[in-house]
Parts: sequence; structure tokens; C-alpha cells
Amino acid sequence: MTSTLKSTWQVVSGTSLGGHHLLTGTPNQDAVSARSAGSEGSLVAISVADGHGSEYCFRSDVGSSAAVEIATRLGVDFLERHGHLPAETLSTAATEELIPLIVNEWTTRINEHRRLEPLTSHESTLSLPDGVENSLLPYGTTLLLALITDHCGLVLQVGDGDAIAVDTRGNVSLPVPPDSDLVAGTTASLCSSHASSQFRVGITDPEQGPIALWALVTDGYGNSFSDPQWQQQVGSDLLKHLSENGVAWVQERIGSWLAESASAGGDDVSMVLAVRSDAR
Amino acid sequence: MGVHAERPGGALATRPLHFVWIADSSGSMASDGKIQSLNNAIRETIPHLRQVAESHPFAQMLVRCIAFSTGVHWHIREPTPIENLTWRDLKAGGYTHMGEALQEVAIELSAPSMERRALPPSLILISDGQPTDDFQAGLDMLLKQPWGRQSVRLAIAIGRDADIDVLREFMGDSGLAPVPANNPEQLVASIRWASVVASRLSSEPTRGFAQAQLGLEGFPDLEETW
Repeated sequence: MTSTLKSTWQVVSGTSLGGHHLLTGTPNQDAVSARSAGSEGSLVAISVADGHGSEYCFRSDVGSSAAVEIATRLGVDFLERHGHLPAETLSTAATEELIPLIVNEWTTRINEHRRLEPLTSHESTLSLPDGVENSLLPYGTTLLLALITDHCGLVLQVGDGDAIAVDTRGNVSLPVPPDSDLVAGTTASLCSSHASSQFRVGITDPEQGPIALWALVTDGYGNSFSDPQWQQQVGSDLLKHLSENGVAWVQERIGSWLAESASAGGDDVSMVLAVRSDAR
Repeated sequence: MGVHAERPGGALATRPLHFVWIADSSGSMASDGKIQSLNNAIRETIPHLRQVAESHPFAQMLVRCIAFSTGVHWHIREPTPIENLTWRDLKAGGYTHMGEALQEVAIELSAPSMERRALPPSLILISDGQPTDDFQAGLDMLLKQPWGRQSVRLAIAIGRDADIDVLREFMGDSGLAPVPANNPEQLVASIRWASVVASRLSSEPTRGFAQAQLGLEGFPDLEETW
């Protein structure tokens, strides 16, 4: 999937079914979304989500699709009202206002889905592990959202995945560092009863130059690289390709790049890029 | 320049799956041929693990073995690809320092060499007796590590003197019980079963115990030797 928004920021995105999902006949449980706003289209929200896909999360493709749609829609609305604020203030406002809104609307959407499409008799036998009461669990998903303005970027994240910011000089940063407790597929989730407090929030490094490229990826992408510091090379390679060959060239190739990662690591793989038009 | 050469980032790789046998080599294992049966059982299990690895092309199974008696030692220290694994016989003698073995595994699972991208480790505890050291301290240390908490843990109880309670505690709340092995044939079947099931569960982290094809039926139902 690729798309281009007519704005200061151009968006490229793609997703690929994991090799293991291909073998087992399970669907792609990742989702990707992007929206722009602002008088000159200078405000952008991009998002990826990774449905857990575990035995108890058999509707997580629905959960991830809802998550990115809600997050980008509420995200651009938030940017239109607060996008002029300095980064720190924007971060505080997002934590206090936007995150609870996203969690509440996602919860409402999922409860409505359950009402309209009750669990089948087979799903009911899988719905919950012993001793767990959580009607949202079948829809469990991560969420990674970047809110991008001319002067800063803000990342909101619950669960795994990576957000990469590359400045015009090619310096790579991770606004939300990896959580060392998230190993072996464990992840925080939007379906948690305290999801709002599980969000991690990061802003662009003030030491970095103007950001030329944002990349959000689900964990299947990073897990396919042998180098644990893969973000550095991916960030600089992408910026080089965009500078030398342009957005359309990357759009043509992103699907096959993601398919290679999905084939190596076995998991679904998704990526969304926001590229500053005047930085190329 | 082809699409492959243009792909951003460095080399791609399958995900490591660390598999560890935690084997009792205390003095009681020397009686009634138990240690030799254990050696035979693990040797017979290796081809089955290779089959699991072949059917899970996204994982690279890396095998180690730690033996505990009076103290512990890594019988296979280097994480060894299952394709290259050969088994050297364990020898029995000494006390049952099971807690120390779990501490040592915890240290290995907390080392920087544990890649963030690794799959949940598989830990198979095999014992015929009661710990003679602080089992609880070892288990606590193991479960304090994120990789320890997320590991797939199964246990095999050799003979009637095995401490079922500590083996059950090691396994956690999977809903399964330690697998009994009361004669050489059952020991082969139980080690093969536990090793294959644990490695499958680790290879497919989204598949839980409830969905796993556990296949516990059909164990050799022979006279109890141990």
C-alpha cells in the first residue's frame, strides 16, 4: 500500500504478510494510516499498529485497523488545535488529553464491534485465559503514532515497534527508546485496563537538525535484521534513497523491501514514512 | 542495482531460539542406569529437534546444556545450532544443586548476548530427586529476568523420588504437570515430547499451550523401573 498526501510532508507506506502467517493461513494483523491537516498541509499524523495475533487475540486485525484510524484522525485534530505549541508543552497536552481520547474511542469502537458481531461459539472457547476478564483482549494491539509539525515531532507509543527520526544531515534518533522489558514478544497493549498509563511519549531531540524523515515500523521489521542497531543504517539509507531518487522511487520498492523482512523474520511487517518535501 | 541491493538496512537473519536442557547429574542418577538412559534419550531427541527446526524456517535453534550435581557446569556452553549438535555423555555424581543451575541460566539469559529479537527461550528441567540447595532463590532469580519470565519451561520427573512440587513450580502456570518418566522408554518419550513441544511453542510465540498440539497420549505404559 502506498499513498501520497499533497502537503509539506509526503507519505509512503507499505505492509507485508509475515512468512509464518503465510504458512499458517493467518491474516496480516498489522495496520497503517496517515492523515494531514493545517492550512498548508504542514501537520501530519502517521501511525502503525501490530495486532497481537496470539491465541486469545483472534480479532486483533480489527483492533489494529481501528487503532490507526482513530489515532491519526484524533491526532490531526489535536495538531490543528495545539500544533503551534512548543514541543514540551505539546507533549504534556498529548499525554493529558490525546492519549485518553484515543484509548476511550478505541474501547468504545471495539465494544460496538463485539455487540454487532458477537463471538462465534468457536471464538468463545478461545476468548480468555483462566482467571482473566477482559472483553477487549481478542482485539489486542500495539499503537505507534507520530504527530509531526514544522518545528517538532511527538511520538506516542503503547507496545513494541520503532519510531525513527532522521535530520537533514542524516543523523538518526529514536524519540522513544526501546523498552528493555519488552522481550520475547511481550508487549504493552491498547486492550490493557490501564492502557493510558502504558503509553510512552517522546519528542524530537533538540540537538538534532530539522527532521527530514520520519519512519514508523512494527516490530516484525526490526526483528528481521541481524544488527541490533539496525535503525541507524535503515534511517540513513532511506534518507539517501529519498534524496537521490525521490519519493516515487521509494514507493515503488517499499513493498518488496518489507516482503524480504517478512520472509526472513516470519512476522507481519509494516512501515510508514513521512518525508519533508523541502528537505530533499 | 537490483531491489535487493537497494533495500535499506543491513543483513537480514532468522530469529535466535535459545534452547537449554537443565539436567540432573547428581549421584542418584547413577543408579539403575538413569544417567545412561538420559544420555540415550537426548541423543534420540536430537533428530526430532532438527525436524522442528526445519519446519520453522524463521527461527535458528541454538542448544545448550547445563548439568547440576555438586555445583554446576555447562555441558554445552556455546549456543550450538541444532544442525551441528552432537551429544557427549553426561556422568553422574554428587549432590543436587538445582537452584544454582537456575541461577546460572538466569545469568546467561540476562547477558548482553541475548538479542532483543530472540524468540522466547525453551528451558527443559530434568531431575530424579530433591534439590539440596536453595531452589527458590534460583527460581526467583530466573523469573526476575524478562527472558526467564517469558521462557517456555517444561520439566521431566524421573522416577518416584523426583520432587514434583519444585518441578511444577519451575513450570509456572502453564496448566501442565511435570512429565513422568519411570522407565527408560518413558524417559526417551518424555524428553522428546518436552523438547519438541517447548521448541515449537518458542518458535511460534503467538501459539499458547492451549493451542499447542501437545500429544501427551501414547506414552509407553510399561512397568515402573525407577
